[in-house]
Amino acid sequence: MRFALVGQPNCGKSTLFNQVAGYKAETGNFAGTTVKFEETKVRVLGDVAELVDLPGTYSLLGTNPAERVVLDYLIAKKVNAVINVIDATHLIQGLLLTLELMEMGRPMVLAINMMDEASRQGLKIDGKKLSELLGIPVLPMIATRGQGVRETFIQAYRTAKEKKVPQPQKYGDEIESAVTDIKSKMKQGRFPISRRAIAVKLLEGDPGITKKVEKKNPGIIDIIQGHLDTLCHHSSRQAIWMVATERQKTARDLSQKVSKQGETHFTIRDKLDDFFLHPIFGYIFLLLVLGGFFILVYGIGNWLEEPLLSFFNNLTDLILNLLNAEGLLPQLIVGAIQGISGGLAIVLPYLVPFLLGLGFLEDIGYLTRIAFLSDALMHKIGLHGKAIVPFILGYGCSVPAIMSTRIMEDKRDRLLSAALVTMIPCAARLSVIFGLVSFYLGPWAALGIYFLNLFVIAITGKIFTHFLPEDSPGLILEMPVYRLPTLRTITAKAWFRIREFIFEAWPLLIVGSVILAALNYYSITPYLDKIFQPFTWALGLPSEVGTPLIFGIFRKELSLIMLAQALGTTNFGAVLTPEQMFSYTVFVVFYIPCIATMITIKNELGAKNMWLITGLSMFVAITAALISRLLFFLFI
Amino acid sequence: MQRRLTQLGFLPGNKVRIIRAAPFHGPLLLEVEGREIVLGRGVASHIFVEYI
Repeated sequence: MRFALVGQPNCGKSTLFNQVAGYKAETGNFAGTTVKFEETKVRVLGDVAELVDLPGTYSLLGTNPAERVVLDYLIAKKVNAVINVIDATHLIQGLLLTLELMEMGRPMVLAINMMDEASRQGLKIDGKKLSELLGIPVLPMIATRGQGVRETFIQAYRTAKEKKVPQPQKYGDEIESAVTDIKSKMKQGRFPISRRAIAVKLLEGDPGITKKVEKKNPGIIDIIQGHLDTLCHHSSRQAIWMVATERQKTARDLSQKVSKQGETHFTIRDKLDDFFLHPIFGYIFLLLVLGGFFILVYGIGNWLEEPLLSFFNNLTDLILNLLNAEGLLPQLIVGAIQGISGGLAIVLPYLVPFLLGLGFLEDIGYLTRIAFLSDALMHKIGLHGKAIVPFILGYGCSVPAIMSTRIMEDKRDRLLSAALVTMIPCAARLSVIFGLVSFYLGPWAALGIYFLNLFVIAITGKIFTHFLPEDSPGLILEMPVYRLPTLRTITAKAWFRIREFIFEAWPLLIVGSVILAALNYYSITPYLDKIFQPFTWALGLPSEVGTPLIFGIFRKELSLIMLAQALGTTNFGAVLTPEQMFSYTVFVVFYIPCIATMITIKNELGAKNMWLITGLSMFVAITAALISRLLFFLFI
Repeated sequence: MQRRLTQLGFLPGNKVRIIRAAPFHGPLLLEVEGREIVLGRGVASHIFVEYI
C-alpha cells in the first residue's frame, strides 16, 4: 500500500512526514523546500504502508520542475490514497488543490494542518461539515505537535482499503460539456488517472498530457482546440482561467460555509515587515544579521578549533615518540589521526553553528524577506531574488544548493545560478578559509576572501549574462508568515545536514588521509604533484600542494587536511608565506566542484553542463588566484 | 508564466493590493486572495489592473 502526501508549499507536509519518518525530509519556512521526494515506511493498524512526501505545489499545473514531479508521480505510480495537507489559515487557496486532486480518481483524505495557528487568528473551521460537503474524510491536525497525525493515517488506510474514490465537483455547463465530449473522444482503455482529470488537464493545455493523449488518439488536438475556441468565444476568457475561476468560486463557497472568522487578533506581521522590509532599515538590518551571523560562526568555531587542534597535535607527537617514527605503521596512525582531527577540530566547529543559524533564519521566515530585499541586486548579475536561496544554502553545502535551483522556472537561470553557486565557499571550504587564512592571517583576511569571492561571482555573472541575456519572468514568490521555530525542528534539520558530513564525508576524509600517508611513505606523491605543477607553479606555491588539491576534488576539506600530510606539519605558518596561504585558499575556493556536487549538477542539468561548469570553475580559480597574487604584490 | 500566476490567484476579477515595493526598482509585495505574493517588476508589468 502506498500513500502520497500532497499539499501546497509551506503547508507542513514535510513536518508531518518527519513526525512519522524520524528526520528525513528538509523542512523550512520557504516555498519549495522539498525539491525531491522522500519515501518512508509507516505502520498503520499492524500493516506496513509506504509514504511518499511530494514537493509542495499550488496546483497540478506543473509550472516548474519541482511541481511537475507531483503530477508525474500521481500518473506513474500506484497511489492507494492521497493525503492532502492544507494550511487552515489559507483555507480557500488550499481547497483549490483539494478540488483538483479530487478529480484524479484516487481515494483521498484531507488533513487541515496548523489548526493552532488558525485558532490564534480567531478562525474556526467545521471539519465535519467540510467532510459532508466534499464527500471525503476531513481531519484536523497540528503536525508540529503530532496532533491528529495518527488519526489521519488510520483514516487514509481505511479509505484506501475501501477504494473510495471521491466524487469530483461539477463545473459550469460550458466546461462540463467540453469535458464530456473530450472524454468520449478518447479511446477506451486503462488510464493511470481518471478520464475526467485528463480531459480537464487537456483543456488547461498541459503540454505533457496533451502529447501523451495525442499519441494514442491522433487528431484529438483539433477537437480540443475546437472546444477552446468555443469556450473563448462564449466568455472571452481562456479555458485555463475559466477552470481556475470556477474552482476558486467553489472553494470560496466551501470556505464560507465551513469557517467562521471570530475576532481577528492583531497581526504583528505587517508591523514587523514595516521594519524588516524597510527601504533603509531593512538593508541595515540585513547587513547586521549577516555580519552577526558571520561573527558568531567565526567566534564559536575559532574558540573550539584552537584547543582541539593542539590536543590532536600533542597526541600525534606522543604517538610518534612512543612508536618508532620511521616505520610505516606510525605514519599511518598519524595519518588517521589527522583525518579525525580534520573533521572534529576544523570542520565541525564551524559547520554546526552555521547550520543551526541558517535553520533559524529559514524557519522564522527571514530567508524570503532576504529574497525580496536582494532582488534588485541579483538582477545586476543576471539573476533574480529567488536565486538568493541557492546562494545562501551554498554557504552550507553546494549539493542542496544546486538541488534548490529547481525552484526557478527558467533553464538559463538554473544553469547560471548552479554555476555561480559552485563558487560559493561551502562549509567545507569555510573550514579551509578559517583553518588556514583566518587562523594564521586573522579574521580580516578571511573576510577579504569572502569579498573577493563575491566580487568574482558578480563578474562571472555579468560576463555570463553578456553572452546569455536574461529573459526570465523574474521573481514570483509567496511571502510566508513569521513563525517561531521550535528548537527541535532546527536542531533536527541541522543534524540532518551534519549527518551527511559525519557518515559520508568524514570516513572518506580519514581513509584519504591514511592513503596519503602511505603514498608519502613510499614517495609516490611527487608524481601526483606533477599533474598540478603547471598550476602550482603559476600560483607560486610549493609543488607538494598538488596532492592535496587532487584530494580536494573528492572533498574540499581534504585540501586542508591533506596539506598537513603533504607538508608534514599542521603548523602551516612555518612552511607557507601569507601570500601562498592566501592564493592557495582562493584557488581552493573556486576550482573544480567536489565530486558530490559534480554528480548533482549532472543529475539536475545534464553531463554537458557539468563539464561546462567544471571547466568554468577551473578557469575562474586560476584567474582569481592570480588576481589575489597581484593584490599582495601591489599592497603588501 | 500565465499558468504560474493563475495558480497563485491572479485571475480576472480578483482584487490585488500593493503592500510595499522594494527600493532600486525592486519587486512588489502584493496581496491577492489573502496571500502575500512577491512579484518582480518584469512579471508585474504584464498584469493589467483597473485602479479602484
